[in-house]
Amino acid sequence: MSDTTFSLNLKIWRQESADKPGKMVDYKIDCVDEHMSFLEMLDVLNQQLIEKGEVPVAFDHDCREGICGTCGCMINGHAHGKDSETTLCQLHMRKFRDGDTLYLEPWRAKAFPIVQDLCVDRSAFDRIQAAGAYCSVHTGSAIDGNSLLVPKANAESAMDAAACIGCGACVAACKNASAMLFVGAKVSQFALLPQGQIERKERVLNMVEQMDAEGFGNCTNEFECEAACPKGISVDNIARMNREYIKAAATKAD
Amino acid sequence: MSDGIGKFLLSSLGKKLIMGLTGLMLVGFLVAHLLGNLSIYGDVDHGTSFIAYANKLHDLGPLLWVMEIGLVALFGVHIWMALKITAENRKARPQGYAHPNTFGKATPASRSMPYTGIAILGFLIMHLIHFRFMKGIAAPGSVELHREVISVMSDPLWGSLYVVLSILIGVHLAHGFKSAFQSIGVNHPRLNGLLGKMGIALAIILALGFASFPIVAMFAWRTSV
Ligand code: SF4
Ligand code: FES
Repeated sequence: MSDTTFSLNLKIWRQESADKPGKMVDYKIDCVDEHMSFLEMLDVLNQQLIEKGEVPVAFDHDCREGICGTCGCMINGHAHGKDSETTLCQLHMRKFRDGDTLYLEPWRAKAFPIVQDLCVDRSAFDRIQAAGAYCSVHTGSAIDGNSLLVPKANAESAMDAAACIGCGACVAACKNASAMLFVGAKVSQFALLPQGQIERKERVLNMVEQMDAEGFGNCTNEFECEAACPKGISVDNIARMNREYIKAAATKAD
Repeated sequence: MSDGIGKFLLSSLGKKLIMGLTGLMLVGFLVAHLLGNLSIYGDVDHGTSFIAYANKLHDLGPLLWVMEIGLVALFGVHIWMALKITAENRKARPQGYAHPNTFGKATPASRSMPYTGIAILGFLIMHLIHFRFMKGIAAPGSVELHREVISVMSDPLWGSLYVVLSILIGVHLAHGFKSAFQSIGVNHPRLNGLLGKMGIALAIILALGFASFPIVAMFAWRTSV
């Protein structure tokens, strides 16, 4: 199938486990096909390592179609690589040139401890979600659509915010390892919809409290997160979270 | 679960709010300070307009005290928050990347906020020693105050330092102004572009305005006093 194959110099962060020290290790891979995805290229590398009796490079992946948020690593300082709005699994090898040197590093943040090689533990995001990103409403049978009105603009913005796949690239790209884009998106998607109103105030207060407890950094408005986000989540969501938080802190009864 | 004003203010979002609000108030102070200083251009030889302005300030009496204490508090809180935020952010990424984190939407101004901030703090101390705490200088209506301003500003070393630091204030504001609005939650598609442009314009006006005193002093006033 392929007409163009080329070679790459890879420098990959290898770390056996969380408590062992890691280091960058050089690899050369020759048969990179321009039609491969980045993860397929890593699969080929791993196959070669296995055949040589070496330990393959651990990396996270699941859907491989850009919707689950499991994959991701830094390529030369860019989260998910340089292409905008692309997850690692959706990044094609045709974006690279013969002889390129690529540094592959895991997301670096105190709140994302390394599990192995390029895999990090993102359960901090799960705990933030559990702190408030839900609606406790009795579902019952579906109600008449027209009885729950949502302005078009709100529906659009909520949908845009809900596109976040929780990959963590925003944290990785931020020089402060701040999680505000992720949390801003999660807070926004509920704050904009009628179903989210009942727990609106507790939600933002509790999620921010959990975010801080996990050890993420403070946002300094550099917007690297927005540039790195594979789903194009806007920093407008961070400003909305700031408003939500101020309002909630000022007006919450009890 | 989340009660108490202290807890709110010291949360990650509370700190942003404080940084933004104190920052914007300090911008207000800078604008007022520049406008006041422009009076020096009224009468360079005898300094009557500048001395009159200084006298007016002193005539405020206790109100001036209140303003000074307020300013110290503003600077103090802004600097304290900045140090705290910077220290926490360092801790949030104990190990950096082997390949430098390349620019996506960050700018040299945004990347250098802690450094321009520290430089401005140094500037502030120098400036206060020059014109606030020097003996006899601060006496209301004294001609020496005017003379001292001219002599410090026209000194090649001090003057150049003042020029450099005026520019750094501009660089700090180039990111700080619109960043402050985002932090306090003011963000709207129709507003963002305007705030960005206003921030840059204000940064340039303030930097040029403040730098104009040492520049004019070094090149035009040296011999006139
Ligand atoms: S905001 Fe974007 S970068 Fe951050 S977790 Fe969600 S999808 Fe990933
Ligand atoms: S593997 Fe699911 S988004 Fe990449």
